[in-house]
Order: sequence, then structure tokens, then C-alpha cells
Amino acid sequence: MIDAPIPRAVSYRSPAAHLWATVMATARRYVKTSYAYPIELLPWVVTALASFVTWSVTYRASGREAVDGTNAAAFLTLGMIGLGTWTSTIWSSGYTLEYERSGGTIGALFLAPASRAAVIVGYGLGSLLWLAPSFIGTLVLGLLTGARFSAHDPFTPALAVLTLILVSLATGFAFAGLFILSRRANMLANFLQPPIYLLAGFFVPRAELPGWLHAISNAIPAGHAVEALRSSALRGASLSEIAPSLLTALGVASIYGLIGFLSLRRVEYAAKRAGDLDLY
Amino acid sequence: MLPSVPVTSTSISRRNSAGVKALLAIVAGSWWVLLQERLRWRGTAGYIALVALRPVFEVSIAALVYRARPELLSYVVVALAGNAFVFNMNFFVGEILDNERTKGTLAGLFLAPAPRAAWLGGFALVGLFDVALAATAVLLFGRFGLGVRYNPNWLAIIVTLALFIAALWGLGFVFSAIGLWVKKANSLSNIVAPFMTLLGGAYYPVAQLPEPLHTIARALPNGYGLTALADATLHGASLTALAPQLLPLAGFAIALPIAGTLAFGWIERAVRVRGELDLY
Repeated sequence: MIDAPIPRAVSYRSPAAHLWATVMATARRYVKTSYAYPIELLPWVVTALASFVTWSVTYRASGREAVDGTNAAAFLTLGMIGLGTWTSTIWSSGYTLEYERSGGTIGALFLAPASRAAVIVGYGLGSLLWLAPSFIGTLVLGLLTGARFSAHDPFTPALAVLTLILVSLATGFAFAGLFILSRRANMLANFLQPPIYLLAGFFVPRAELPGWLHAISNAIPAGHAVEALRSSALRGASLSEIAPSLLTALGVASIYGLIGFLSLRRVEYAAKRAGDLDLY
Repeated sequence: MLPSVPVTSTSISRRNSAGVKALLAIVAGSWWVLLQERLRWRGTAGYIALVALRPVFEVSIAALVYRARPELLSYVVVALAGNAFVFNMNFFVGEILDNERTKGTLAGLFLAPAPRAAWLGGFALVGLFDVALAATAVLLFGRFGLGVRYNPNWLAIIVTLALFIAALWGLGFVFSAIGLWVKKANSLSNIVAPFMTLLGGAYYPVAQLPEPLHTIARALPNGYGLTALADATLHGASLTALAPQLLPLAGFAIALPIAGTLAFGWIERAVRVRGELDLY
């Protein structure tokens, strides 16, 4: 007689652990799927490096060696980091539901016992990992072309980077619902890039924007976070000096988070009402 | 198991063609169908926002960098208006074949009793509509938003545009064939585009590029085309004055369309060998 195997006791994760597991599983899947097509990685690295050189030559042609109280190479290096996180905001966390819709898996996503917010965050984190080579490449190129960093301590710039990631995820969370509700996700994603490059101060300091544009740019959380990062990493600003920028970035990002929450509810409502999840 | 349907060319030969009228009808029909499709896909407002406003933001960033260099500001306005042709070559002409493949219509087009050049030409003309819109928006913004004054030599502009478009369409068809071959036309465009911007002289005259980038840039038509356009539009340069730019551009205008035709022939032969159009 064969003894029946003793079933293992089923252990359920806590809600927080379940949420985290969803985030990590989504991020892992994003990276694995992306690496399935190595040609997909090249554009992000190439774009970052070529854009950096393009804007370096542009600044050199303009005769401006110093930008925002620092050298142009250092200014652009951190601007490119901001641009990378914005790319993640738009094309990963913001595009989450559109990817699922076009992949035909949005129905399964909506019916899965997993938080949609966790999936969106997972997309965002996955893409930041995926973009890591372009971030590293930009930093190396920046250093090679004369970027010099001057931080008060390593903790302050690290906090600014963390804030940049958090506001990127919050903005992507808002876009995820809004993109899918618009039914013009690709058009919106493509359109939103250059205005934010301008308004967030990735290539030109926000202080140089005309007054009315500067006011609009205050609504872009990434702009405040990049400013804090530049101040702390390039001009040695302390935590207390960059705290207002960090708090503003997080405050504006929380509004984006709220918009994301409401738009996701709207997506669910519309999907249930139509009875056809694939439409969204 | 049934073998794949062998591919045979049903393209009408020159001898059997129904004449120029029929050819033009195919060009016009292809143009109209694709234009309608693009307008439906993005919506008219979205189409205008994406095509016309996007380059205006790019000019705005460059204008802030060049605010102390009015001569470069004028250059960048015209060059970015002209760069709309390059952008279009990259992301539109360069993706035509692969886009038709992903829509599932490439097989139909290959089997249609119509010259390939006719429907390809019709599709490419839709791109010219985009370019006209984008360039007009940039030039108007330059005039009324940035105070740039134009002194156009229309004959020189027309000749330059004719040569530039011929060269870029040829290059675009080469990329289109390669994009179809790798089945990742958009990724290919995203890899090529940053180099086109860096080396093409969209943000600065190519003379500003350091070596060896300057030498590499001279192997592309972009720098010649954009410099000639800027001189003809801003300083009323005559054809004689533009000869150093127009002669190399003319060489590209002859060589690149031939290369495009050869690339198209190559991809068609590859399709026949494979015997399955839908795979290509």
C-alpha cells in the first residue's frame, strides 16, 4: 500500500505581501518579455546616448558652457536621467492597460484577483530595470564628456532619485487609466513627449521658461524631482535645501495618484457596463 | 499537407499598364485610403496635435538654448521645419511595408494587379501631407512666436526640396525593406532616428559637429538639404550660391532612389523564395 502524500498546508500571503508579489511578478515578466527581442533594447540606449550628444553639441554651438550654475555636460546627464524615467512613465506604467488590451489579455487582467495598481507599478519598475543600461550609459558618457558631480552627501541625491521614481510611477498610474479611456493611447503617448521635455526642464532649466509656461511646468512632478536631483548632485545642496522641491514633487504626484485611482475606477465601470472587457 | 501557395508576381508590366491615368488613379486611391485611415485612427484633433504641435515644442526647447544666438535660432527654425521630412522618412516611409504586414494587407498589395511603385508612391504622399502641416506650424511659430524673418528664394527652395525629398524617399524605401526583413520596422526607426537628429543638422549646422561626427554627417543627405533650405529660406541664397550643397544632394537624389528600388526588389525576391507573403 502506498501512503498518500501529505498535502502541504496552504499558506496565504498577507495583503501587503500579495501586493508586493504582484508588483515583482509583473516587473519580472516585463523584463523577460522585453529581453525576448534584444533589438527592442537598442533604441532606448541609442536614443539616450545620441540625444545627450545632440544637446551637448547644441549647447556648445550656443556658446553656453555653464547651464543653471553647473557645466552643460552635468546638467544634461541628469536631464537625461529624468527623460529616461519619463519614458518609463509614458511607455510602461502609463501604457500598461493599452499593452494588455492590444495583447488581448486585458480581460484576464481585470478578472484576476490582483490589484491593477500593483500591475501598473510592476510595469513601471520593470521598465526602469530595463532602462538601466541606458541610465548607466548616459552617466558614463556624461563623465567622459566632463560632467562633474558635487554632492553634500550620498544620501540626499539618492533620496531625490527615489522621489523621481515615485513621482514617475504616480504619473504613470494616472496615465494608465486616462490613456485607455481616451482610446487614443498611442497618439497621446507620442504627443506628450516633447511638451514634457520642455516643461520638466530636462534640456533647459525650468527657470528659463517664460512665466506662464513656468506656472504650467509646476504641475509636472518630474520637473521638481529633477531640480532637486540637480541641486543635490551638482551643487551640493543639503536635504533641508531640496526638501521644498521634494515635497512639492510628492504633493503634485499624489494628485496624479488620485487621478489614476479615479480613472481606473472609471475604466472598470465602463468595462462592466459594456459587459465587454476587451473593449477597454 | 498543402504546400504554401507559391508567390507569383501579378504586378502589371509597363507594356500592359493601362496608362498614366490608371497609374495616377492608383496613387490617388492609395493616398486617400491611407490618409483616411490615419485620420480615423488618431482623430482629426489628435492628428493635428501630433503632427503640427510636436515639432513646435522641439523648436521651443532649441529656441531657449539659442536665445543669445539669433542667427542659430533662425537656422534651427528652418532646419526643424525641414527635419519634418527626415522624421517622416524615418517613421512613416521607413515603416510602410512592415505596417502593411502587421495589418495583414501586405499580401493583398503584393498580389494586386498594380505597380508597386504606384501604391508605395500614394502612401508616401500621405507623409508629405504630414510634413507640410508640421513644417507650416514650425515656420509660423518661428515667424510669429520667435520673430524669425524669412527672405525666401522660392526657386532655390523648390529645387532643394525636390532633391531632398527624392533622396529621403529613396533612403526611406531602403529602411522600409530592411524593416520588413527584420520584422521590427518601428524598432529600426527608433534606432536610426537619434543618429539622423545628431548627424543631420536639425539643431545646429553640421559644421558645428566635432570630428569624426562631422565627416560621418557628410555621408548623409540631411546636412546638405537642411543647410541649403536654411540659406534659401533665410538669406535668399540663389542656386549658384547653393551649389556646394545642391551638387552632393543631387548625387544622393539619384543614388538613394536607385538603392530603394534595389532594396524593394531584394525583399520581393526574398518573399518569393519564402513563398509566404504573410510572413513578410
